[in-house]
Formats: sequence, structure tokens, C-alpha cells
Amino acid sequence: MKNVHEGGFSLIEVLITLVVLAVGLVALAKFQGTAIESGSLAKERAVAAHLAQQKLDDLRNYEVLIETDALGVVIACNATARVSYRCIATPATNVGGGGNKKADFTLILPSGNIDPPVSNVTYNRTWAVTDFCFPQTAAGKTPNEPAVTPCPAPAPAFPDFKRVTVTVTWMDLEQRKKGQADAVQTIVLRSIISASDPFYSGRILE
Amino acid sequence: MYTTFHTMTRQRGAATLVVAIILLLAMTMMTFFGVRVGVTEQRIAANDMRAKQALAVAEALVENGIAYLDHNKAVISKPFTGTAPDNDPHSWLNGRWQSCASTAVPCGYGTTNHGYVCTGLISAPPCGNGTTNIYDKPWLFYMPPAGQIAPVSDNIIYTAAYTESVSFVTPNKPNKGTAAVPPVDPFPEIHIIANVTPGADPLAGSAVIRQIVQDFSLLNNVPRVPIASGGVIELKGGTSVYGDPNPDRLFYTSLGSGMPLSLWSGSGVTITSAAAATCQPAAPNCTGTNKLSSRLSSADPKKPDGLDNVGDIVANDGKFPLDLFEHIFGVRDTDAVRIIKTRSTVLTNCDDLTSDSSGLFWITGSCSIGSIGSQKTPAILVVDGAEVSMVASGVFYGIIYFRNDGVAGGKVTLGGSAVLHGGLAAQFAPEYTMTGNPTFRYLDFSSQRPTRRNVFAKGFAKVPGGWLDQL
Repeated sequence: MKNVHEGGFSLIEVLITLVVLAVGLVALAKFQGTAIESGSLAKERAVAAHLAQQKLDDLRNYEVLIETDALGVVIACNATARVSYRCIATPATNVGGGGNKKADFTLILPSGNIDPPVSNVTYNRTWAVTDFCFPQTAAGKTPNEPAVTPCPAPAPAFPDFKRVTVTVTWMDLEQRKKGQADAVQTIVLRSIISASDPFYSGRILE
Repeated sequence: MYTTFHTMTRQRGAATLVVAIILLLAMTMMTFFGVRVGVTEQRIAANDMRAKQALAVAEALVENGIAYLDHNKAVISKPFTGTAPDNDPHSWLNGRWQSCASTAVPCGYGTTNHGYVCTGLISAPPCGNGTTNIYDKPWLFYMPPAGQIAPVSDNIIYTAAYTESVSFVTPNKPNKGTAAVPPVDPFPEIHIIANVTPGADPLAGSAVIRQIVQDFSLLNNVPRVPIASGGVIELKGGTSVYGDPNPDRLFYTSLGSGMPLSLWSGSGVTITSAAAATCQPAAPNCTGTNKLSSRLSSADPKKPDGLDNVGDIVANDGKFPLDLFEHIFGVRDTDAVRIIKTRSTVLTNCDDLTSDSSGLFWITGSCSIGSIGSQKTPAILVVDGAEVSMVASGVFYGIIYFRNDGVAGGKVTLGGSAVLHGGLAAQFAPEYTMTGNPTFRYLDFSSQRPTRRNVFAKGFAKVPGGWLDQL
């Protein structure tokens, strides 16, 4: 008769426990998944901002304002030309589009997809350049006037300053896993590069 | 035993369920904790991002400021008295420069006076050298009005608009003049201060950075002589050449001090007419003993050409610069177009230039001079065309470098009573045509007050190491 009083888990109890655990765990997993997802997005955004800043710094470090041959003829912005302020431009190709170069004359930081991917994310970096000029009359410059874009004719050898907009886009890792093709993330960093001749920065130290 | 069984029987209940719920609660708490860490990380990343953007905006403002300064270099310290000829309303001395009177940005950092308000007996740098106050006046600042500096923060995704300002702060050194009496060598150093603060979005970042720029002269070494040429210099017609009236300096040809020079040539000098002469610099006219060249030629029979190296004419100077352009501008002639032409106002001829024209002009064609420059606002002309000429009543103040596109030849034509105040320099020998009584009169552009303070051939360059992410 003792068997009647022996304890044990009733089927009902186990079933209720299983249901509660299942619901709770699924909710938790989903919550954690969301948190991890947004955490990875923040990291990706930080990487993208760094990549944009990197290109801005690259474009800002030019060797000369303009390059000419010994006769004073301006050298075209091609692959073998020195890194010049004049040639900072929106890259139609990566040849002579601005920025510092490797020994084989290709850009260190070319436009397009960044290879290799950073933490399994492929970032795409491009930049656009807008020229600004201060107004000028035939007899000289007009002081205390704001710069305008595009530069009025006659076109100067190079604009007074250039506005560079670097755009980095990437496909978010989590959303890419889910196959959401349109989930493209974008950050934009914009700055200005002035025609400040490195030649004279060296001169004032003499 | 019964007791035990009884207890067990009594304690039967939903133990599994209770334990499971406790476990679930613990896991939930752990998850919440994890998420909190994640959220903090996200906040850090977002703040970092905003700071990066604010810094990018501030950097852009500094670059914009440099361009603005360079564009306005001619009027930054242009003399301004309100009456002609010093009445250019564009001059920054016409009320644009303000005295630093408060500790607000850009003169101070909010409540802190970081030294730009150098009133009283502040002796700490930058007001003083540690023991005494070297600036007896507050520094000056100028904040361009809204719209002068193109905004950069617009259209940046993920940010609200920033409040942006860029201003220029400069030490106003003692005994260097006031707005009414401009200083001798004003504003050699200007601090560009970019201030970026949150606009509509209070969460936006803020950044303050400072870039120090210093002016430089495009002129490196101007010959202290009215005519300098690597080729033969010819004086014709009734031409008079007056040398430096204050030759109390050692001339770099090491030919001794105290000697005024009229002509300096790496080749020969020929004076083809009796009326043409070099003259006593201080003399009002060029007659009699004031004619230095004729006196020298008759005085020293040992010199077959009548010229020597101890008078006011230096001919066949073996030390004449092989690259006169480099001597004057500090830039090799092969880089002339690249560095100097691009900093010049490029014109096809000199027709648009007037007595108000001041600065560096690069003339791609021939240049006919009517009246260009003044003693206060001289002009520097680099003429790449084939001819420099002065009309009969022409007046010129400044320096003409006759480059002729870097090749030999070209023409220099003067007539009537044209007066060239300053200097003419040419690497090669042009063909000189001189009729009437033109005059070359040396004018010192390197030390005279009215010309030195005129920013006629100046630029601003970043001081290496002059970047600070603070005020």
C-alpha cells in the first residue's frame, strides 16, 4: 500500500514545465538575437566611419598642388603622376583619381569594395568631389565674398578648395543572413580640403 | 519511516515547475545584463561616431578657413584710414578685426581666459614670456558672417545639423600699430579656430580645434638694383637709372657695403647713347657729376668697356644667379608655373591693371603698362609674353620679372617720360628699345613700411605641429 503514497513527477507537471521553459527560452533567444544583431550593426558602423576617415586623411595628404613638366605644361592626372591636389577627383576609374599610390601606381585605398572583407563584412567605399572657387574679376580677386560652386569661367588651375564626400556602404551581416537584399547600410563623412601648398609649409620653418 | 513517507507525501507539489521558473528568471536576468552591456557598447559606438563626425566638420571648417584667409590675404591687414587711397571698404581693419574682450569662444574657452585676452598684467604665455606681458593689447579676432563659409554638416546622414563657426585670432603685438595706424608686419601668425556644437539634436557631438597658420612671402630675395639681368643690359636714348638710395647694407655680390647699384648683369652692360646714364640715387636729375656711369667710364682707363665692378654697375658678374627666378621667388624656374603661376592672378595682358592693382600677377601675353601699382600697393608682374612696354607717361610701382616663357629674347620697350619704380629682372637679354627720357628708380619693397604691411605677395601655410584639438 506504500506505493500509493510514493512521490514522482506527474505527467501534467512535466508538460507544464516544458511549455513554460519552451516559451521562455524562445523569447530569450529571440531577444538575445536582436541584441547581438544591433550590437554587430554598431560595430560595423564604427568600422565604416573609420574607413571613411581613412580615405579623407589619404586625400588630404597630397605632395604638390599641381604637377607640371619643366616647360610648365600641366601633367594630366594619370596613374604615374605625382599625388596632387588638382587631381583629387570623383573617381571614374581608380587611375589618377586622387589619393596615395603603391609602387605599381595603383591607389592604396581604391574606390569600390574593400578587399579583404573586415570581419566577414564587405564594405564599399566611394568618394565624390565638388570644386569651390572664390569669385574673381579680371583685375583680381573679390575679397570677402563666399566661395561658389561650380567654379566660374575662366577655370583656374585648381579650385580654392574641394569638398569631399566619402560614402561607405555595406550589407549588414545579420540581415544578409536572412537574405534581405535591400538591407544596405550607409554612412557619409564629408570634409573640405584646401589648396594649402606643402612646399610653403616647409619654407616657413627655414 | 512513516514520518518520512508522510513528509514526502505532504511535500509533493510542482517542484520541477518551480525550479524551471527560477532557472528561467536567472537566465532572463543574465540576458538583461548582457543586453545592458550591449546597449552601453552601442552608446559608446554612437558617441564615437558623433565625435568623428563633429571632428570631420571641424577639420573641414579649418580647411575652409585657410582657403578664406588665402583668398582675402590682400585685405587682411590693408591700411585703412577712411580717406583715399586707404579707403578700401574690404579692408579687415575696417571694423572686421575685433578686440578680444571676453572669454567667450574664440577668445577664450567659455569661462576660462586662455590668454587671448591679454589685458592687465598677465605674464603667462601666450600673453607673456613668463615674467612680463609682451602683448599690451588683447588679441584680435574676426568671425566671418554667416554664409561666408560654406556649411559642411548638411546632408550628412545620421546627424542633426551642427552649429558651426570658424574664426581667426591673431596676436596684436605691442608697438605694432592700431587699426588707424597699421602695424609694420602685422598678423604673421593667425590661429584658425573651428567650433562645432550640437545644433537641433542635443545628442550631436561637439569639437573645437585650432590650426595655426603663418604667412610667408612669395619673394625670396629681391635684387637691390633697378635692373638685373643675366644677359647684356643696354641703356639707350635718354634713359636714367637711379640705384638704391639707402645702400647701407652688404650687397650679396660681396663687393662691399655702402655702394648703390644701378645695373647688375651676369653678362655685359652697354650704354649706347651719351644721354643714357646711371645716376646718383639721391640726385633729383641726372646731369653733370650725377651721371655715375659716365664718370666711371672716363675715370678708369683699365676697363676697356668703361665699366667695372667697383662702381654702381656690376657687369660680367660670375656670381650672377644661374636661375634668377629661383633667386627672386625661391622656386626653380622649372617649377615656376607649378608653384608661382598657380598662386598668381593670371591675365592675358596688363590692360585691366590700375594703380590700385596690388599683388602677384602672371601675364601670359605682352604687357603694356599705363599706370600700375602705387608705392603703398606695389604689384609684382611676371610677364611670360614676348614684350614689356611702358607708354610714354607710364608709371609703374613694383617688380617686373620678364620671363618670356623661359626662353631667350623678347623686347623691353620704354619711351617718353615713363617711370619704373622698383625693379626689372630678366634671366636672358631682351632687346631694349628706349626713346625719350624713361627712368628706372629703385624702390625698396622689402623693408619700407607701407609696402611691407601690404600683403602684396603673401600666402598662408599651415605651421607644422600647429594643430591642436583644443582652443
